[in-house]
Amino acid sequence: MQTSDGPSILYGPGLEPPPDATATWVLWVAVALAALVVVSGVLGALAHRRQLGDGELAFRSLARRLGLTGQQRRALRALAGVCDDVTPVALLLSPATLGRALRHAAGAETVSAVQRKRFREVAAALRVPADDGASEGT
Amino acid sequence: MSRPKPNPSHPLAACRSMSPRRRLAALAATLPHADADELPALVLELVELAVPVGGGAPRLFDPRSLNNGELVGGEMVAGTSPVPGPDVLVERLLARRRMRLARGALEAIVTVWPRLPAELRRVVYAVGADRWAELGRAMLRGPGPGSGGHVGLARMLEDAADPSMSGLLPGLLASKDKAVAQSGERALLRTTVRALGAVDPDLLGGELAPLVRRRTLPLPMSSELLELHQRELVTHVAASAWSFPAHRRSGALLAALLILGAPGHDLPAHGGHREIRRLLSERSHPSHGPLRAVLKRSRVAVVRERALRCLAIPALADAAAERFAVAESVEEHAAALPMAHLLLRPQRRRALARVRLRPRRHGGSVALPKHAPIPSARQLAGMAEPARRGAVRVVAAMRVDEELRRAALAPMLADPEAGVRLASSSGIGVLDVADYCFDRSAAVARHAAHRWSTVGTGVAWRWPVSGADERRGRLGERLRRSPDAMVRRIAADEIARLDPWRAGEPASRLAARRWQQADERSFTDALAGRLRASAGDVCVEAILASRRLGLARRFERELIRLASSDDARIAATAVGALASVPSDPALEALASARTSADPRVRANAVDAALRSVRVGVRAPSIVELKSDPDHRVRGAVARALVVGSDASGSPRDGIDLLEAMLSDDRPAHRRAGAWAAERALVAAPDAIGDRWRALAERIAQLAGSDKNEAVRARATHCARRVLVDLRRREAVGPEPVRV
Repeated sequence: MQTSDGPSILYGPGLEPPPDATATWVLWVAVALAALVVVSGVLGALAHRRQLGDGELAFRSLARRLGLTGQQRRALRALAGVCDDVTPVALLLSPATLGRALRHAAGAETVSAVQRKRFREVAAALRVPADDGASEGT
Repeated sequence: MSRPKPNPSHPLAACRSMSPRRRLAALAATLPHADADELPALVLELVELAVPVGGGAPRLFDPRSLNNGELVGGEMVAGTSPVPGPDVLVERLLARRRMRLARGALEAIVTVWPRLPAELRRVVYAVGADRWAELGRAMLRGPGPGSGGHVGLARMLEDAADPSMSGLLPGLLASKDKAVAQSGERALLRTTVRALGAVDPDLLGGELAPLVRRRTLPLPMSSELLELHQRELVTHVAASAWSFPAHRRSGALLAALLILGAPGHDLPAHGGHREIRRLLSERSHPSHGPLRAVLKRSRVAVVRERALRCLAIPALADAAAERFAVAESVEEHAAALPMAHLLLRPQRRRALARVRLRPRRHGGSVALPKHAPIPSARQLAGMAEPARRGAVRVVAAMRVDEELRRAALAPMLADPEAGVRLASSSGIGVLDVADYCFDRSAAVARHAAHRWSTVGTGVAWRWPVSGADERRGRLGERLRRSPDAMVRRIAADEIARLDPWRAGEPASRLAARRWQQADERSFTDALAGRLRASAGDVCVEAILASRRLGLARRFERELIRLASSDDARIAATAVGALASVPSDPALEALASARTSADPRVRANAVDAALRSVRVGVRAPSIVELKSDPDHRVRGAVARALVVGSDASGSPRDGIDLLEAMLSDDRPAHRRAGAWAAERALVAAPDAIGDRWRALAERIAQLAGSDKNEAVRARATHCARRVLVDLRRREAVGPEPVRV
């Protein structure tokens, strides 16, 4: 029994009044939103990874295992972009391919000197001799 | 989380620590760009992915998931077990994932197959033909990894020449990529040759031999499994040939032709083989024009042998005959000639007979034309015996001028193999066959002599014989000295047919009768001339001929003259002939002969007395000759007395004389007694009466214990004849016996 003046006499010591129904509802909505965000994030991440493709993921994974920096990875991607049909991961796994790519980049007009330098740094990091004709000058 | 330490010296080692999916992606992306030095390591990494740890190929279908199902009427019926549990489902999902990875690895490898070194190809192919076949089917179904993958697949099949992969060949042939289709065509040919053993690579010629001789990958399969795959291969070759209009690769038609003659397999009963034969007979099929072109123009040596087979297929007979009539190399001869026995089939023979082989003339001689279907003498010398024998059959089957035939077969006369000489003696003309009658091989000589002989051919000579027939007679005389008894016999028969003066030979007497019938005057003149001849043999033969032909009366005067000849042989023969002449001058001559100094004349005179009784002449007295010193005369007298019922003297005198002769100290008289007893015991047992048994016992005694071998032999002969006569009498009763 409840009156409009105060708590019911039925609530004694140790007995809490029931939670507010509105607060419960808000709580559940918050949990659901959080779950939605998490699921969306996971799905988005998965979609992103799928968009990247196995080749890019393999490159990232292998580059990480080989200890390449972000700049070196970018340089490798750029080097692969200079050469047709060559993927960055192939440059990592095949020193011969990397060597050919470097030689190709050395003769390419679209490659700047800075880029060439970074390419040589990556080659050095991967212990591939950068036989692009500019090694002696640097 | 700490960053992994860089390890740039081992990128592959770093790659191994990645997930299989990324590892596959990395390796597959690298492989097309890698150097030859880098390829083996990368490929082995992929092989590792293709063959999961634990061995065996990853399974998509697990038999354990059948839930105790069983095969009923060819369909799998599920058992009563509950649905698969989560463990089975998980395992299945994992297997599916492994399979995708493995297939991806194989796809990556097959793309670079043409660049792989030979040893690495062996290792890679050992992953399993069924795995490669499964991959190949998937690649051909879908877009695959591009034409590079298809080229690699085709090159792999080319290298493997594995019949278990033959199901992929029609798909490769139908590829729009020319390189793939060409490679598939080569793979089809290599697989056909390898799996069926259809062709000896030496017989493929310069076009295909290098292709087939190329190293192949090992085929680790049992003979039963190989046989199963061979049947599959035949089916797929048939399908490829039937689908010729879609791919236009003549290699499929060539493979079908190669299968046509695959030796050692029970293929004709197989459906694929039937399909091939059906295609070859299907004149309206679009492949027939190219098929005829392959048959006619292919320089593959063994195609000539297939052309020989195709002579029996009406739709291809003309093209096959055209092809068979040309041989540009020794290999083509070596391929086709050993199978020349196929020309025994009349259909093939007829087809080949349409081609005429024209000789090449230079000077006065003829020679085989260029690229003739028959090898030259020099080529023949280097060939195996079946090929040389086959050459003879080809010569016999083709339309060849006689002169050229002789030139082509001439080298065979001196062939070291008897079989070849035998075959050539069959193929050569009758005029030349005489050469083979002197062959050192009895089989060849007999065969040639049979061909040379006219016995049984119905050939009737005209007498007097021509010069050619005289030469034939002379050849016969030479053949009578052959070391082979059969040849001697054949020669004697032939001579008897040619020579009418051999009265002892029925064929000779028949010849004489024919001559007499055809031209009595010339025959009589010839006989009279021979009776007047000085040569003893000629004269004796003529006397015997006149006697055997019943012409003694006509030549009575000549015979009487000859009965008093100084040559005892002539006189004795003439006396024998006068027995059938019942004239007084003849009887006088016979009486005179009985007192001749020569025992043969006297003996013949006694025989003549016995025979003259049969022609109505009163028997002359011969009893006084009982004591003649010559055994022949005494024997003749004894026989005449016992057998000749109308002869002077009685049978008792004859039997006495026989007994005396059989007990005579002189072996010649005992022998003559046995001779006379033989005739008396058989011809006149009734006249001998009770003394028959004693005489027979005496003969048996002489046969068993006489000291003289000739007497024993004669007595044995007598005993045998008497025994035979006794048995005959027991069986059919008495009948006249010629003495």
